[in-house]
Amino acid sequence: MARSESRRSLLRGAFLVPSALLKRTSPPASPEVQEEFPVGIGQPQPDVPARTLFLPDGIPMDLEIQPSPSVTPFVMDLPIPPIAIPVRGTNGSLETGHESLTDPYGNPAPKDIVNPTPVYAEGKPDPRTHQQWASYVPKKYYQVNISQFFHNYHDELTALSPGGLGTATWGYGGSAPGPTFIVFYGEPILVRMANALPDCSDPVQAATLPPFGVPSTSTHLHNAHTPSESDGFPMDFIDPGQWHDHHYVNIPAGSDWRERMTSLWYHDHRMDFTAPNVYAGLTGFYFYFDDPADASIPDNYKDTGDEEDAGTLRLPGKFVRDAMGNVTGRLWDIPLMLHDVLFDQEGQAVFDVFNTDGILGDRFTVNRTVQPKLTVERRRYRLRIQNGGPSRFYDLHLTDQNGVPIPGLQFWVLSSDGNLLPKPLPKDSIQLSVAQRHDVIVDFSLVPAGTTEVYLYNALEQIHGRGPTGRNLLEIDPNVNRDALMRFDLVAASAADPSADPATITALREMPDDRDDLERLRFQVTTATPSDYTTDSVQVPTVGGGMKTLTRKYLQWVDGNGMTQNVYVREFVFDYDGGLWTINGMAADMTEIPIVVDPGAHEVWHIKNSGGDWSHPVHIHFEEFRLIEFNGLPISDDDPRDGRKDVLTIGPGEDGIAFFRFRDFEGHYIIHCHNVIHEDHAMMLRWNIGLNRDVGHHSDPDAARWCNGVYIPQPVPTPRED
Amino acid sequence: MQERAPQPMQRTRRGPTRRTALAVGAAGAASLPLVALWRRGLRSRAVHGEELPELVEPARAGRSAHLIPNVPVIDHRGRERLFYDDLVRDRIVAIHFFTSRGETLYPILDNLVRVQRLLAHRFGKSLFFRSVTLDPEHDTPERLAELARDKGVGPGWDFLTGKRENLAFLKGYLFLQRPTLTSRPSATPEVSCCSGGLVRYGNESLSRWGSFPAKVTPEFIATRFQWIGFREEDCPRVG
Repeated sequence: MARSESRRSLLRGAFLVPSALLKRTSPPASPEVQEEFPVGIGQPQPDVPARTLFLPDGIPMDLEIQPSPSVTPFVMDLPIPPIAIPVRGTNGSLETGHESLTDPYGNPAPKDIVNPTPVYAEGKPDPRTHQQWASYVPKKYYQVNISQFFHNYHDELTALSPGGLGTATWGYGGSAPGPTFIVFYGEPILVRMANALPDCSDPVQAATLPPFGVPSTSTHLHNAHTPSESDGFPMDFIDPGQWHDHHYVNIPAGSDWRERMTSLWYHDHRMDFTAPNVYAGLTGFYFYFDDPADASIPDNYKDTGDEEDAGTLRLPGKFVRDAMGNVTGRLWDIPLMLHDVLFDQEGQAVFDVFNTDGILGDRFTVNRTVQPKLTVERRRYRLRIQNGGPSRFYDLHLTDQNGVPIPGLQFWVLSSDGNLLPKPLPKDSIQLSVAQRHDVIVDFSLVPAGTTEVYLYNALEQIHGRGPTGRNLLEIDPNVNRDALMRFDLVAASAADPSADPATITALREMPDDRDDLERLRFQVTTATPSDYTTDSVQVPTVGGGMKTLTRKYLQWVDGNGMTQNVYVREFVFDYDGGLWTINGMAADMTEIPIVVDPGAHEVWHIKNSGGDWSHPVHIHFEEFRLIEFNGLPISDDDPRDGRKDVLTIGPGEDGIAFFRFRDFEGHYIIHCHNVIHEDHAMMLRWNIGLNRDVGHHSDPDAARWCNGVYIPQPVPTPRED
Repeated sequence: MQERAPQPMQRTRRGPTRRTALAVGAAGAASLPLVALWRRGLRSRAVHGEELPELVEPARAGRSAHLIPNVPVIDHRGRERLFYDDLVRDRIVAIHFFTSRGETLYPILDNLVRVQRLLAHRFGKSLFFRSVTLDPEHDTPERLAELARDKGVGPGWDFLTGKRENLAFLKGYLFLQRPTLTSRPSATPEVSCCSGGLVRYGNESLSRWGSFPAKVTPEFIATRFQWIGFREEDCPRVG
């Protein structure tokens, strides 16, 4: 405790700075000297100003001024997040589990700093608060406590921490990343998120908080086709002691099997505080599988999760189950959550609350462990690689111990964001902007016998939070291996590999629309003149009880089934204005409804980056899109973006045209930049599907938010004269 | 309630010795503040001969002392105040930068006045606004007083001016936005303030800091002070 107090004093005392840093105030090296030192990310040179980390006006990066303590790479084992285990009812049944949602069974015991006992969220779920509950009655129930605990990013960082306890971290179910949900299509679940974070109204608890974020959460299941009240809307937040029920219906959009997804993740989406809360640890995985007995999808397109299921896709992987039949793990199927983190001299995560550009860390972490190692057999693995942000972009390569690409060893890209691609694509490198995912197959049996180490290396230079420079570090980084994200240590295969060779998979997933039909739509949209459009309008409520009129325009397109569809066309311009990141000149205002989409509508969204020096990974909630044009060109069939996507990355001056169908549910959703610093600085717009649900939500003085299963009136202030 | 940081250098609260005017090379007594300067890149500017801010040792360092520079400023009533000590510490505050001339191009004060109306019962008691000009030669205390009167600004809301280098340093600290390769110098730099659309808000004693756009619906802005206030008692002190 004594050390803890001294640390806090250090944080509070602005001018108590470790003497080791003082020498950094010596006059700067001349520009000529600085030119000689390109630098990667792994271990910044302690006393040499790094040229690539300096900005044109000489303002140094936080991570260069006060770099993280040096730690030894590749000594920590890669941790695999635990599998979420559903709550069982008193009769042992999963379907009656809600009877005992007050029982935290199924969660790892929260290692809570303050509250040794977790929050017991009382009360059964209320079907009346959920859309189409009767159609999708949950078959499994989960309760996840969101709590604060000490996390071990690296033994050497933890050794520096007060009391040797580790880094103050927030996590779901007592771990970071949180528990991985293993779910099957056709099996709706209910997840009760309970906020057990320190309560700021208690000074003792408040004093334990990390120096960023607010202990208030709204959990978004990224990319899922989720009813609005369960989506994790930024304003549907819960404070310590409160809970929120997320009804995950687990149906493909439009109940079309071709819209089934694979790898999703969940993370915090709290209004104004998404970036610090996610940085503090609030991320986790959510994986979809197909039930072998499910008749609504052809067998040969099923990803059953078992590589030995004949007649299915047989992607690498196998379930591990306990005596009760609960899935407790996966073999040959490895989730990799990437975050870059900056640490202080006591091993605590550092976040700059006044940075508007984007936050970069100087330590790569995978599954919240600094530069881990993983022992793999010489066989095929499925790696699910997720860029968890906050602001870094990656260009990932596989290299040997000499930093040289291994001949024949490729990423077989299975998915882009949540969906499987039409066929696996062999790639030498994969690009991940913030929030993007790729499922890949890596066949370690192809590595020459003399090579026992394979490194996962990021070759993309990024010197500020606004976006990458585009330079390839693989050619200039003298320490490729030391700077790698992680290392795979190869051992002999223990058995024959029954998984399918990705080179032989010719049909991974069908697309809902033919390329020809989309090309016709692209041509129509890009050549349309004003007279080709029909306009209509819709009335939306405003704060204070008024109404305003939104006008919309659409053109008609004949889809692949010969049906004439009205396709609404909209434009979203991502820009910068007066310190704010803006969309169409607007800053995030969840009381405004600037866009109304009709239930079931077809829409084309033209998404543009008007900036010359920044990149935006644009994320749209609820429905995936097909990218039909990027920078004026159609998408080729060997482009990983030629699938369904939920993130469209637009670099400086770039633009893309996305085609959507909005199906099944209604309510409030958002479009935002997933560089979460940009998101928190207002690069987010609310849009609604229909105006029948959640319309008064946050848009009038009686606005409410979903919490504890009901609308809680927001105590929005009203004028009062003193 | 909170532990207090040790105070390594006790200084007289008022009087000529309370300031630590910094200069490059004064690495002895002033070395620690210099590190803080270094953090935001002032080092390179100092090398190029620009004036340094008058950074003052806080009388007592709260939990956000490392985030909020303690520089002298002058409020629209003509009083000299220390930004951290007198205006931010132990308070829930909103801080933004503006220029009165820029208001004609990029008006934001009127919207913040609407927020003040919504929260009038808390202003000056548990909530404070700090509007800092970046045009001190024009925005004298007298002009700011006039502007405050015109806008109907009440207690708990200070318009602040002062020495240009102090104000610029404050802004550099609170709005870490770097020039972009494509950004062009404004034709009228004295009235431009590229952060004008963004307001920082926070609870100093808990060190919770966020941002909101200055122009969004006032009700939407007003709810935020509950998010970081947690309860009225968290910010009981009156300035």
